Amino acid sequence: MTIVRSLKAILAASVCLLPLQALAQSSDSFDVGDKPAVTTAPPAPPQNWVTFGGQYQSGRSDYLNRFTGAAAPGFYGLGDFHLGGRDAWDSGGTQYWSLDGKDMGFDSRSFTGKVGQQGTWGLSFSYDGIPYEASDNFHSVWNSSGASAVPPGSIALNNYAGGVKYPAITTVTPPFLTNPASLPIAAIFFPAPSGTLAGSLFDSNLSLQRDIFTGTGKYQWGDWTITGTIRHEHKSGYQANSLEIGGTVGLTGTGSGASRNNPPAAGLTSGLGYFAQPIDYDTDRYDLNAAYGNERLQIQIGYMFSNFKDNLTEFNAQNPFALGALNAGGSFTGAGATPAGITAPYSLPPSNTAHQVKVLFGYNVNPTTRVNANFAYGLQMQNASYVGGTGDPAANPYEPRSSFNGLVETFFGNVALVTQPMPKLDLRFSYTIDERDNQSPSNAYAVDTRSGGALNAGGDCGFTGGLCVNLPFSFEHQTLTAEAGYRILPQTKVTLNDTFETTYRNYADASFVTSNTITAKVRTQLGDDVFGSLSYSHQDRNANNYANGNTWSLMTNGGVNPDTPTAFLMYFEASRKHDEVKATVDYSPTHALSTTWMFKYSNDVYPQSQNGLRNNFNFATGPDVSWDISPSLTAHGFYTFQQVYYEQSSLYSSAGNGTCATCTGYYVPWTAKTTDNVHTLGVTLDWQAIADVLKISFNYNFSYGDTGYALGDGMAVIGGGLTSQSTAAALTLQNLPDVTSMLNMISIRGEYTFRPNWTMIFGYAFERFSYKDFMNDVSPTQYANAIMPGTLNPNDSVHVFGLGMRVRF
Amino acid sequence: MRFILNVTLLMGLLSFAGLQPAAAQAPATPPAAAGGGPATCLKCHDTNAKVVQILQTPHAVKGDPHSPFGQEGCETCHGPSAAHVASRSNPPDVTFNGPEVPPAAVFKGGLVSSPATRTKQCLQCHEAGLRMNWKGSQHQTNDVACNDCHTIHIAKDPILVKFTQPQKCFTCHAEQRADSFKYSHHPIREGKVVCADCHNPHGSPGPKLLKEFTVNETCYNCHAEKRGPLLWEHEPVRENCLNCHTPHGSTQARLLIQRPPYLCQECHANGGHQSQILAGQNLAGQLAANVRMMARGCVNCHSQVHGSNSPNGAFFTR
Repeated sequence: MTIVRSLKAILAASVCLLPLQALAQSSDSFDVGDKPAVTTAPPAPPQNWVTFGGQYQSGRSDYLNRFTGAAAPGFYGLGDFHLGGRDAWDSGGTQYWSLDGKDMGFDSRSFTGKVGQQGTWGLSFSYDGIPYEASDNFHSVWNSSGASAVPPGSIALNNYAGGVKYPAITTVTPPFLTNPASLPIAAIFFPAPSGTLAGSLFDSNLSLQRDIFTGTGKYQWGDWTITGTIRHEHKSGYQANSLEIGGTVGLTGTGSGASRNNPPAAGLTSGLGYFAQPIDYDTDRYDLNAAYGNERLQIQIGYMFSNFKDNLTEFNAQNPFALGALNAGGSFTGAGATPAGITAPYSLPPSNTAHQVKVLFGYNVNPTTRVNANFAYGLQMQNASYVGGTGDPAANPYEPRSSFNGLVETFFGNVALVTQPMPKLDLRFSYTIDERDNQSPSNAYAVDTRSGGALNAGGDCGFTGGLCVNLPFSFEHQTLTAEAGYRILPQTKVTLNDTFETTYRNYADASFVTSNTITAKVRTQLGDDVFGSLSYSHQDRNANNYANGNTWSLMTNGGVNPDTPTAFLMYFEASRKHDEVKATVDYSPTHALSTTWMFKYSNDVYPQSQNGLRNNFNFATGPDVSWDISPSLTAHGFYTFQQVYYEQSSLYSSAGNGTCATCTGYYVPWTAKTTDNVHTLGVTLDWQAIADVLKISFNYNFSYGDTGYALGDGMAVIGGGLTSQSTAAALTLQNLPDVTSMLNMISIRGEYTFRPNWTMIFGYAFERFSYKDFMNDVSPTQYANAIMPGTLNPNDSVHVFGLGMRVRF
Repeated sequence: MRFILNVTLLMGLLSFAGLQPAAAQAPATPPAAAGGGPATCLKCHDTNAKVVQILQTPHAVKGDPHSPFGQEGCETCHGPSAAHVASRSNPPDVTFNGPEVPPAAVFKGGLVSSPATRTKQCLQCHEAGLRMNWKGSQHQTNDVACNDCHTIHIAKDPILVKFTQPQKCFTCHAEQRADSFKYSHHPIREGKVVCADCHNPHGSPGPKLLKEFTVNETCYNCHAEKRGPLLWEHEPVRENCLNCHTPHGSTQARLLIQRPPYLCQECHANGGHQSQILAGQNLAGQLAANVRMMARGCVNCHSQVHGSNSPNGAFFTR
């Protein structure tokens, strides 16, 4: 036996002691020295291609094509391409270029071009269009300039019967709130609609278009990479918005307005209307970065400047509602037509700018220890001129300044140490601070046209002519994290994490909040080809000094009690206990089959909150399967079930929270439980019917969401200054219908290569979407006090046929 | 015969020793490089389309000293692999796919390197920039290796293409995939806003692997009109957009976590209309119809819910 053959035998023997998988690889050992050396690169397949064609859409697709600009039925052109080239890999050259285009026949088209010398310099530019079609049946009493479709003051508004805001309940007749005979309140929103109003409204399509242009330049200077990026975005179109004129919709005042719980100034009746807000934004962003990197040290220094410009400052709505005549003092009073020329200015987003400097640092102390530090300092500024508080020429509300001159400083700092002090043990320590320091001025403003020039400490800055103080919110978050991971076995790792956080806020109800979160996780091999992970996390958050109504009190300069029920804490700053469990199981018995099961549950309880958000949980689970059925057939399927639950409670106070000694009314505790159930399913099959010639793909997606509401009430309680109620009454609440959404999407696509580099592409898709929301489908003129947009629930059923050709060259 | 048997047994013992924990071994001799650059590997791997596609990519540019083919060729990533060249039954020093076989590993195939080994190869060149915070990041501590997401031996990595990127992320993030099908969603499946537009999967000092340092700064990249600062600010808005919104998808309109009025009533219960329970009898067409149960609910009037810059906008109505 020759030496070569004996070596082969030896190697074959040693292979027996390697894992079984290796045996499958070793069936054809050979001596690579027998094969002649390759002197030229193997020929590359054509890399350039162009796809052209067209598709036909049978119906309107408000939901499914809202981001393509192809919401309307009809024919659309298809066009994608890739052109590019680079120096041959072994030529020593480094030049490259490419041009890519996608969806050229749609408003969502995108285009990218690149050129450069790899390792030296590079330029790229891109365009991306993002359309959004919201509605094609939007109704408004105003056109895009604010002009009213009807003469000023021509829309009559309804009053309370007898002009009393909250009448005393002298009879108790269950089911309450459903018996019209004892419900003067019900008459508020039942004004007689105008017979001519419907025909007068403006009808428009709501759609938006973002056009994004980006240019990037990169230069390699030794170990430094210098990158500059310019991004310009223009956003235009119309989006739904609304404004109310006069005050709380549907109220007619008779009282003197001595407190916020009495009706507002006499004769003041207000209306609500939707309008198509014109959008004309330009956002420019400039980034300059310098990055250095070697084996041990990496540094990145960056500067960002962002300029948002709103080319429109206000929407000035002509008042179509009959608010009343002006009195000598310039306020509305009594019933009557609204004088012509009165407008309601609505402030559009003001232009603003932002600067940010970033420094990132990473250092490998040794192969097992690394230090990272990340810092960012920023400024956000806004000084757009104020719009007028009112379009009433006779009113002159007090304003302390003509523009805000706002300034916010932001600071972010993070340092982290990651180390492996011994094999199998990983440690991580980090500290983070995130600060928003709002240095904007704080002044008292007149927010009501009846306001005088002085602070009214005893009044309500919104209702009784007082002044409101703007509050520049600031906060500081700090986070300290320690984590240890230990690999008990090669396939088993246990991780423990402790994260401590503090939050400081100004002008808040909870100014100091702390929390501690402990997480334990294990990842391991459960059996042959089975891997799993399980983690549990518990967080204790404490609002250490909750002061109910503090924000409101500061805003009103110590004004009226906010009437919030006891132990009603705002959930985002309230004490909370958070528990979370996550688990995954992966089973891959062969290279052709891979399955995963995911489970996630998180639960939040607010122990100090007797009212407000009390509890919410999120649950998700489902499998994912990928299967190579045969060399020519692959399949993928998934299913996910999600459930989201919210439980909240409050106390309906019809006349204050016991602070009004002479008020009449009632208190009713209530609860609301919202449950969201969502099912999502997907199946994909890819079949190479004829290798390199015919490929067919099938795809089906299903999504069903159901939001249910369970509303409960308690007994009406008597308390505070209430004297007129003699018996308790129970509310009988009518249930809300579920809000449902259902999506069915099926598509079949084929690619037939009928000659080298020529491929015919054909496809068919059916898309069905329905959405049922009780808050939609309201006629615009059903209630004259509130002119609704009249948008309908989307209900799409669309067939799409496509045919195209792809040519490679 | 006896010589062959003894050598065979010796080789077997040596192979078995290679499977012992590292602590029980004497320091391993670094594997030898095969030399000869890519041409050596292409002697055999010249017809496999899955391999040669790399020749069309930036990784295979001999003229660029930063590129693997400008250094040691295939062995820059797959490690010194003289043993593999000597006999195909030996895997390359580093393999990127397949079950783990310590200590040697491969990127793909029947034998695979540990995630740490595979990642280490990539970090030789890609530790700067977006990858600076990789070590200690959520993906790294969960043993996700670079090629679990990236495909190198292909003309165009699917994860670098907007239209195909989400599918790769969804293989692990099933909840976000389900969210992307909901009524209200960012155009993720449509390929216009994708995972990397908000997240840096390679590691970030901010929460949830976000590109920017905070949630709000990430959102302001596309929604700069919300940035302000504004005269009248809404505190939960300034602190975190996720107090009211969920970014991947929602059954409620405008990516809200819950709809008005109930969402607003989680914080607002002042006496009067804020605390009023609204139910079925308040729907349009019912006897106690209330405008707060139509269209956008509370936001019908309080439409400047993100904050107002109007002197008259203290209650977000102007």
